[in-house]
Amino acid sequence: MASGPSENPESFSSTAHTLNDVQLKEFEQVYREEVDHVFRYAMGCTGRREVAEEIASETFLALYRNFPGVDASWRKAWLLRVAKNLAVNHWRKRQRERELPEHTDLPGVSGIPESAESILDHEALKPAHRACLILRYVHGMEREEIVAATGMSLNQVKSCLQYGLKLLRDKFQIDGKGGPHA
Amino acid sequence: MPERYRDFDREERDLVRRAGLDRMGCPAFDLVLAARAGVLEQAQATPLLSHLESCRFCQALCADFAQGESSSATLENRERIRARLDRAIAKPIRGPWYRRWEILAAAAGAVACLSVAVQLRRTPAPHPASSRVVIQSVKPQFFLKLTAPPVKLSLNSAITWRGEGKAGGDGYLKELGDALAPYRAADYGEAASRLGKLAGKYPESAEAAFYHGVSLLLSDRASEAKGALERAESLHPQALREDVEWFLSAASERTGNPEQAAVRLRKMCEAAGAYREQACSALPHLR
Repeated sequence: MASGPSENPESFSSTAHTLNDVQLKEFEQVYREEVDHVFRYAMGCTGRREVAEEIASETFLALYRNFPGVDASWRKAWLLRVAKNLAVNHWRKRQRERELPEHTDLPGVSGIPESAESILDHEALKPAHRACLILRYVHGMEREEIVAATGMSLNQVKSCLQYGLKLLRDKFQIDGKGGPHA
Repeated sequence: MPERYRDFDREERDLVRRAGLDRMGCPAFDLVLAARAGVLEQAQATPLLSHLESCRFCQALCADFAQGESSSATLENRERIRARLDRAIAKPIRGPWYRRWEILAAAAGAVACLSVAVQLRRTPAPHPASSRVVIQSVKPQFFLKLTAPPVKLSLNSAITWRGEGKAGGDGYLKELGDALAPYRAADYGEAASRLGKLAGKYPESAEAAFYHGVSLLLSDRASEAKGALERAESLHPQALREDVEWFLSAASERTGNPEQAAVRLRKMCEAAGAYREQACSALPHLR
């Protein structure tokens, strides 16, 4: 555990629920500086905003409770380590509850036409468009599910999808009514 | 066409079919992200990583979620993180900067309520044929919520272990600190393993037994947790007495003995302790 030199359990009793004014101010500063970073990291580990929120708050709660014992120079690494452990716990729990599908035989992706992949290389395709396009047309997600996953508004998602649809339409020569272009 | 494209219109279905995207069979993107971040068990992660290696769509999505805007916290995310933190910490810690958020959030909330009200008036009830059946696993609901308690070491315990020199005196404190490190970092599976060994080595240590029990409980191993917590209780740790009582109640509820939990909760509710409020509010649900 990267918590710096203060691992002595004798210091634990003083870290219960209250910090003095100086520590509280310092904690606030760390929170403001790192909360986005921790959330983003948790999103990268779980892909779900509600879970990432929970992990971020639990991570800062752990920091609050152990604040005097965590060396300032290790704080960032400590926060990410805690967030990672919480993410591991989250997935273990889901596995225990049999919520995870078995992936022993994932299909290969060799049969995909190159032209489909080449959409990804389109120079005008921004990351937000790309994420929406993949979530919709590869994962088959509904617009509301994409809103929940990306944190964008429904209008933003619709706009990104319109753009993605146009790319697909151009690439695969389909007119707006479902028939091929002449 | 797979069931996952259920709300696609005709044009979208045609395009997806022509592009071959309906044959991709990509696993859920949150699982791929988890495998890439190294937070899945090895057996689970291996096939996902193998897929990721050959799938440009999953690679692109992972890159967007790991670094792009798709994983940034929105104002609502920040608000909820802060609210959870404030709730968990007895005394809310809010600075002037938070006041500004509150005003913004209140304004946003009012607008959202208004939009929902307008939407509700406009949106007709869904047609039965178009409503989807959502299958969810049924999980037991527990009324006693679990939050890892901060680490406390009683002065008496420290003096006892040092003074009597049992099994190395200061060595115990160091070993306890080492075993508690994963607990403090919320790695409860590892904490349960280390603290279990420590509790075996120092059978008179209430701290080792208690935090072992809590770690087991937080790892969803309630039956084992109950044994460890009962062991901790039998050692009469004054500094941890209330915590032991609360977590034993939670372990009883989770092992199908709500009556036992209720007996303990009643005592906590009647006494003026740190868990009084929680015990009183949970008690009616267990009766």
